[in-house]
Amino acid sequence: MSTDILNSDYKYGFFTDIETEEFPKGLNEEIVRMISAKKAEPQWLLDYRIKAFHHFEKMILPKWAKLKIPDIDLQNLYYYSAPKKKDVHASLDEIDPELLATFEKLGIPLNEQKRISGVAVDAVFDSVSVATTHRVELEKVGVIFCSISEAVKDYPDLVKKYLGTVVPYSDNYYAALNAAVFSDGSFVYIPKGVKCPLDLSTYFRINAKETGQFERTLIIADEGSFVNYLEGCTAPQRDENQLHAAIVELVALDNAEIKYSTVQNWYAGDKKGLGGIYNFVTKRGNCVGVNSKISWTQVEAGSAITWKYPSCNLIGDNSEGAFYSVALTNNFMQADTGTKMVHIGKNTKSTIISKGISAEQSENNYRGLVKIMPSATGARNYSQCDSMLIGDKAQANTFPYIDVKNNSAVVEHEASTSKISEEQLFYLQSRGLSEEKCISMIVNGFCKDVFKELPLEFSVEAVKLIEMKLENSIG
Amino acid sequence: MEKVIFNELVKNSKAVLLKGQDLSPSYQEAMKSALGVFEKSGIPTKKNEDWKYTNIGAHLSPRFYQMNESIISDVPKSVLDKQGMIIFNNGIFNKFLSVLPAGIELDSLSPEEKFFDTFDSLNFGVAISPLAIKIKKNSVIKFPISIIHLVDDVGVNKMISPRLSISVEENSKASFVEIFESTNNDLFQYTTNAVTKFNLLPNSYIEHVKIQTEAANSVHIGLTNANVAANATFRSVTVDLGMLTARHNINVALNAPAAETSVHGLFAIKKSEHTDVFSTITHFAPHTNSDQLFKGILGGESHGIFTGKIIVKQDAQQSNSSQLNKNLVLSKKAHIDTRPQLLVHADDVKCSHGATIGQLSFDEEFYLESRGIAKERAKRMLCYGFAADALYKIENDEIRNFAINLVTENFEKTALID
Repeated sequence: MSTDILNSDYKYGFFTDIETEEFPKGLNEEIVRMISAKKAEPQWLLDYRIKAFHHFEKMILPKWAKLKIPDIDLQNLYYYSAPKKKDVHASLDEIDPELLATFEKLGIPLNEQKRISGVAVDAVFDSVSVATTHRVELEKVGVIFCSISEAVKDYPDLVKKYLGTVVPYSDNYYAALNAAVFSDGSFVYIPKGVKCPLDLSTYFRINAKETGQFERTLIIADEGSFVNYLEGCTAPQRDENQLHAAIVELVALDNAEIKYSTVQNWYAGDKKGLGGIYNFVTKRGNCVGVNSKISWTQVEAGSAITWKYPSCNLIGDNSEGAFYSVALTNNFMQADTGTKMVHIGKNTKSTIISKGISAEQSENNYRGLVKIMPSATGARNYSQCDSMLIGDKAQANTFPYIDVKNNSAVVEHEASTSKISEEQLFYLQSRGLSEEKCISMIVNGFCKDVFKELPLEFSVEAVKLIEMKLENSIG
Repeated sequence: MEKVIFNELVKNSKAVLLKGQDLSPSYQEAMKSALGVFEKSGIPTKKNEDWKYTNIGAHLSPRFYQMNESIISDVPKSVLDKQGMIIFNNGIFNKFLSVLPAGIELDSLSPEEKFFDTFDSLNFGVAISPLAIKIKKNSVIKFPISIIHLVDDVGVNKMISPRLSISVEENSKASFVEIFESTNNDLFQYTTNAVTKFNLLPNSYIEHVKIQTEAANSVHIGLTNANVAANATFRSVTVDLGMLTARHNINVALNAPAAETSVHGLFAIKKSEHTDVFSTITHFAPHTNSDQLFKGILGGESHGIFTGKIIVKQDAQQSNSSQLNKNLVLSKKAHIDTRPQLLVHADDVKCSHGATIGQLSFDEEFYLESRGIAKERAKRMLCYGFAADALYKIENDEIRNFAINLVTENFEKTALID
């Protein structure tokens, strides 16, 4: 039975009452071993997890972000929760109809006949991937798209070669935690010269109570390939906070291109700031090959606290990185988000467009690093980060770091903070539009540079999402 | 190494002799507690976000200059106008040479409890010859007043700690040029830890130009602090021509409606010089304005840092703020870090900031060369053009001309480009 919560602005706040299998609460080596055993993982992966866990024990919580993070009791969380059924489903018929209904309700039909657009989906429910669609079609062109657990079994060489190369377990506190206890996630491999015929997508759903979701995504684009990847996320509405600490690793080889888009709509807490997801995510892409391209597009509209910096290491000569972001905070949400562009190869280029909208008592921070290493001759960066404030208790901060060690680099950064101007409002209102409509139009225009980078369906969803979020926050 | 220097600083600061000083007992008490603050907070390391790029503890001189006599008897050459000059020798106020113009008088010293940072508290604790002056109500001083900090051979290997507070009463106006220099720039090695504080009352106007031309192998830590009241304007321009390590802290608080500030500056550094500019402008009140243009020219293996914080508090509605940091990198091994930061807590404001890093343009060089100007000369002209933007922000004609001459001379005689 799905229970709807009435009087809610968050339409994905329902909870699916499904029988689940959970490991005991707490974080220790035993749990790490149990997760690994449950997934029948090879020894090398268990060793990797154990190494990460021991490293994690030595680490302390990072404090540099401008966020007020309440103490999280890591011992009081479930690290594994899965719907009680077989892990691997040969066909959709074997999936619990309750689960199918859940994804249907979220607007993600897993049943292939019903799908309108050509998007292949990997659906992750709590700790496991429940279904991956369009697999046969993708296999025809050699594209591997499956859950990471399956990839470990079926393509161990690929996983072993790339796992942890972009985000090593020693990278940061949450990355170490994830490396020790990650449960599932998506794996994508695009072979040489293939332009992926479908857009690939992962949908993350946190359902169970007091669980942390730790998923891991690994995308490898081999020479000359192209992939468009989308990610969506929601969670039930609850009074307590839940932890989501994910890792996404992208690898682009020579002439390859990866476009990664996210619409993040985790439950953000209620009007008083109660509940919501803590979203602590490490996303990074390595442009390893020459002329490779990685672009991150994100619409961050959910989570009580967001701590997320999708980054690019531009290693190959002429490689390109891009970051397009809209971050919207309202009520008591806090966001500290931005990007890191590290230029290592010659003639590398990066673009950063960040739009922050901060309403009510929320806090929205942009934090970015542009680093030009001595080897990056001819590097070029353009950054623009604009903030819009709605309501006099909101905060918008920008913390750009620019670090240049090569004199042939050209780096530009500009930022502005303002509110919706009276003139703009008056102009639109005098043409007969309601105030709410005017504001939504202005906000849309403000975010246009980013929305246009999103794939079509996502773009529509993003516009709606922002409108819905801002509905009652006009000050 | 830093630990040893810190321990010595603590030991030596406690032993600073106050005999013969006319400092009141309550002031001396405050000095003691300031040293307590310093001892507690220590020397900032690179782990401190505000000092991320400068290892300040590495080259500090751990002994203090504490002789209370004036050695220099001639007016320093850099004084712009002899009608108004405030002269410090090795951090000690020289009352015989200094001339306070009509409208400016000595003020009583007040004990301080709140400090900008650890070096401000150290300075307060060891400055045995602090100076407080006030510009009286309705005084308009037309000529520039020179503040000269001159270090000579007795100051070598010491830490120099001048402390000056200037209170500006209602409706008064003055321009200051504060010059840090030494009698032998090639040989001397010392540390300056200077503090200059301004307190502007309503409707007053101050222009403060700080020029750093200290000895090449020395360390400079300087704080320019200003509290700005209603309708008052504080204009600041910092010019730094490079040294071993220079840190300029500039902190301006706009405390009342219609307070205004501009914090401009230029650094031109070469070889392995290191300059770190840390500026904070806080808008506390509505209708306050701030403007900033900071330029950096980097040659050799130099390292420049610009951190510009602009904080707009919740009450500061209808405030405007603009900030621009531009850097010209001339050589392969020069290195620039820039952090323009905006922290906005009010919604009805206009704030913008920008930062650029680039090189001399080939087209511009070619244009000049095709008109018969030698390559080297063309480059200098372009560098000067880049610098002039910031120098022309100086309003007082005499100070501006002085600064322009100084910078052009410096560009001519040093190999900025290599």
